[in-house]
Parts: sequence; structure tokens; C-alpha cells
Amino acid sequence: MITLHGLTKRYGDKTAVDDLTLELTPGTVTGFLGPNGAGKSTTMRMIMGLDSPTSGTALIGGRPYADLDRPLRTIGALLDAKAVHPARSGRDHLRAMTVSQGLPSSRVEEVLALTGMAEGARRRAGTYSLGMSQRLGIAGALLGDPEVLMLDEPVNGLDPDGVRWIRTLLRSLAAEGRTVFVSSHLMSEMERTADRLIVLGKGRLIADEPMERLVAGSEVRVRGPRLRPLADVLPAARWTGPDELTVSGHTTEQIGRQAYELGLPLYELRAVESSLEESYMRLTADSTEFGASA
Amino acid sequence: MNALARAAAAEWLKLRSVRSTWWFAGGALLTMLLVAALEAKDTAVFLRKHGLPVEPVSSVVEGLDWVQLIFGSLGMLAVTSEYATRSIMVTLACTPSRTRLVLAKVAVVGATTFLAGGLVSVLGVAASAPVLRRYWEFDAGQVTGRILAIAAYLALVAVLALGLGTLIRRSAGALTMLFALLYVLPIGLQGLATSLNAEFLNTLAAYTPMPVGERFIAGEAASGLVLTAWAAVVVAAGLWVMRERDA
Repeated sequence: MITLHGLTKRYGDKTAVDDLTLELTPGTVTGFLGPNGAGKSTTMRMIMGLDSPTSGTALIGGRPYADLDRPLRTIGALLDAKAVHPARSGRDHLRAMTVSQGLPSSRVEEVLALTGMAEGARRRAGTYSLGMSQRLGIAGALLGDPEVLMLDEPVNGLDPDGVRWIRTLLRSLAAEGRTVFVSSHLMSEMERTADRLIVLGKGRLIADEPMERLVAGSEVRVRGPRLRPLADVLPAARWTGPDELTVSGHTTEQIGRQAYELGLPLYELRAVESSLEESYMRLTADSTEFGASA
Repeated sequence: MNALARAAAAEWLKLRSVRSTWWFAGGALLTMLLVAALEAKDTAVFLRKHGLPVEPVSSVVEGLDWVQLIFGSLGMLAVTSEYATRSIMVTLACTPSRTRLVLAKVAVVGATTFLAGGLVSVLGVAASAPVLRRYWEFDAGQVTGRILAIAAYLALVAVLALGLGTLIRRSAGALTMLFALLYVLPIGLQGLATSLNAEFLNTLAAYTPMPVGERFIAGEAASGLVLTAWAAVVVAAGLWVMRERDA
């Protein structure tokens, strides 16, 4: 379990992470979304004790990272897959980590087998593709069999097989009762992996919702030659094309009746499930406007 | 194993699992053998002419001027290579206590360079022996003491450089600082002493790491403490920066 309380990071007058309070619970995959520079990586670095917060706390199982005696047994993290000495073999990289945690050396072979890196780990890490580096990084995160996993953009650079492998792995880790915290800019990937979504914009929490609720916000699409009177009576309507309106919070029946009363011809009237991507764009657009007016 | 021992075991594994460590060791050995063998005659003649005793380590001491920078680079890279490759993130994830991490690195770099320094000087004595033994007065006890002091000197230079690496984080900057501290600082202070006619600057110059190291190797135990203090202060400053600054 990861608990953030009022977590804030400022660089001069720029606020990278702004008063973030969250609790990440075991048994769920929590997706961490946000545009570049939203503060996702900084948040993860503060959880790891790499950057110190300007104010607030980040606790893992009730303790700050620095207080963990053998941290990898509690939390496994992959923040930067390329953060490996290029002259060291993947296996030696993992062996050093194993030794530092007092773990049995057999763990190295176990995680290498699990990530499909048993062969590649003999080579120097500098020769790895991004996909291989990601697998090595995930092997490192799994080394201590931790109850919390934190991965920053783990599907970056993976081929479709690798992406599917990660998705299955994260689901099974959560099913085992672990806390899984994973950031991504691939909304479609999150839609299939996460149970809960946290959206960050300009360092602020702008959404923290179960996946169903973010995706389910259904809308109605209306197409016709003269829709302006309809748009005037429906404040929730917005133009999504020259002859197309998208309305949220109404059913097709309500809108159909409304159009009939106004005497408007309609070419199309249908309910659409908004995808996560659309919800995400809407949320982050709001945060940008909010940030500009503040 | 306690936490410090685990961290040190990991540092040792990291040190020996990159090829550059072995290139540095080989380079230091080759440099020492060449300098010790080639300088043997000139050194002996020079010392004789000035009425100074010729010792079995005399030629090896000449080689230190060259070899110490290689030992320093090795110590510095134990930290700067991790910042350069960002693998410091993984290291700190494994060992979040900065104090423990720096102590583990100091222990591993110190012990390794002490042993390597001893080996390099023994082989250097052997390389210079064919020429030097016609001039030297051999005292087994004295030679052992000198070689231990040389090994300790090289280890302290490596630890000092490790401290500079922790302080500065970048190889180029740390190496420049090491060079300045060893070579430029004493000469600069002496130059300043002459032009300002300030004798205390000469005294100060005599307490910079290299002159102190020379006296330590020549048998002055107190100078060894001054050199240790240099290394300790720089490492402490590096540790302070590591604790205060984001990784």
C-alpha cells in the first residue's frame, strides 16, 4: 500500500507536484495518466526517496522509503529502463541488487526466466534494445517478490507480444493481492489493464475514478441540417462537427422528443460510449484552462 | 549479514563486473612497471648525488606521480559512472541510506585500491631491482613499511577522488578537481608565497595531499593522519551533498 499525503514538489516558483493526496490499495492495478510534464515521474521519484518532497509525505506500508531495511522486498520499481551501467551484463546488474537485499541468488534466474531474459542477460546491458531493457527493469522490480510494484511507462518500446505480456503480468500480480501502480501515456493500454485511474495535470490530481466510471460517461451524438435551436436549449451540447452535436447527460429518447418539439429534422441520433481516451482529453483540457486562468 | 555488509558486497560485485576496472588495474600496473624500470638508474644517480639514501622503493615513488591518477579515476568512477548512466537510481533503490551507501563504496574502493596498490608497488620494486639493487641498501622491515604506506597512500587518493565524485557527480569536473588538489594547489600556493612574500602559504602548501603523502611514505606517521583527514573531509562533504540534493 502506498499513501501520499499533501505531496508537493516545487522547483523555484514552478510546482511540479501540487498537494497530492492518494491511497493506493492492494489487489488493484492503478493507472497513472497525465500529459508530459504533469508530474508523474516526479511523484514516483518522491515515493522512492530519490527526490525529497518540498512538503507532504509518501509512505509505503506506513513507512518512508528510506526506513525500509530491504526495500526491494517491499516495493519493486522500474522508473527508467535505461538506468543501467552499459558495460555490466544484465545478470550481474541483477546479482548486485540481489546481494544488496540479502536475497538468495536463485532469484536472479527465476526473474530472468519469468521475463524471458535468461539468454539476453549474459550480454552487456549497453547492447540491449529498449524492449530488452524494459524486461530487465521489470525483472529487477520483481526480484524481491514485493507487495508493491511501481512501473513508469513499462510498455514503452515493447512489441505487441511484450505489451500483452505486461498486461497479463500486471493483472496477475494484482490478482495475487499486490498493489500495482503503473504510469502510461497509452490510454488504450490503461483501458485494458487498470482497475482505477488517477489523472494528473500540471501536478494536480484531476481525476481519481474507477475505470468503469471514467469510460462509461455515455454521450449522444446528433446529426442534422439545422441543429442550432437544439444546441440553444441543451447547455450540455457541444459542436463536434459542422452539422453534429455531442450531448452528455441525456438519453436518445429525451433528445429525440426535444428535436420533434422544435420541429428539427435529424439524420442521425445515437448513443456513444466515450472511450477512455476521450475522457482523458476532456479532463486534461479542463486542467489546462484552469491552470491558465488561475 | 548486516545492511552495511550487504551494501558493500553489492558494491564489490559492481566494481568487478565492469571491464573498465580491470583495464584500470592493468594500466596502473603497466605504467608502474615501465616507470619503475626506466627511471631506476636516473633516480639512483640523482639520490646519490644529493647524498640521499637509495631505497628499494625509490623508483616506485617516482612512478606514483603517474599511477595515482589512475587510482583516483577508479575511486571517482565508483560514483560518477552511476550518475552518468543514471544507475544511481537503482543503487539508491537498493540502499536508500546515503551514509550507508557512501561508507560501503569507501570500504570497497579503499580495500581494493590498498591491495592493488601494494601489489603494484611490490611488482614495481621487482621491475626496478635489476638496476636499483647496485645502489640500494635493503632492509626488509623498512621496505615492508614503505610498501604498506604506498598502498595506503594510493587507497587514500582513491577515496579522496570518490569523495570528489560524490561532491561533483561528473567525471570531468571531479577529475579536474583531483588534478588541481594534487598538483596545482601546492605549486600555486608556493608561487603565491614567493610573490606575496608570505611564508605561511609555503607551510600551507606543505599540508596539501601530495607533499603530505610524500612525507607519509618517507615514514612520517602523522602525515598519514593529515592525508586521512583530507579524504575524510572531502567524503563528508560529498555525503552531505548527496543527502541534501535530489538524486
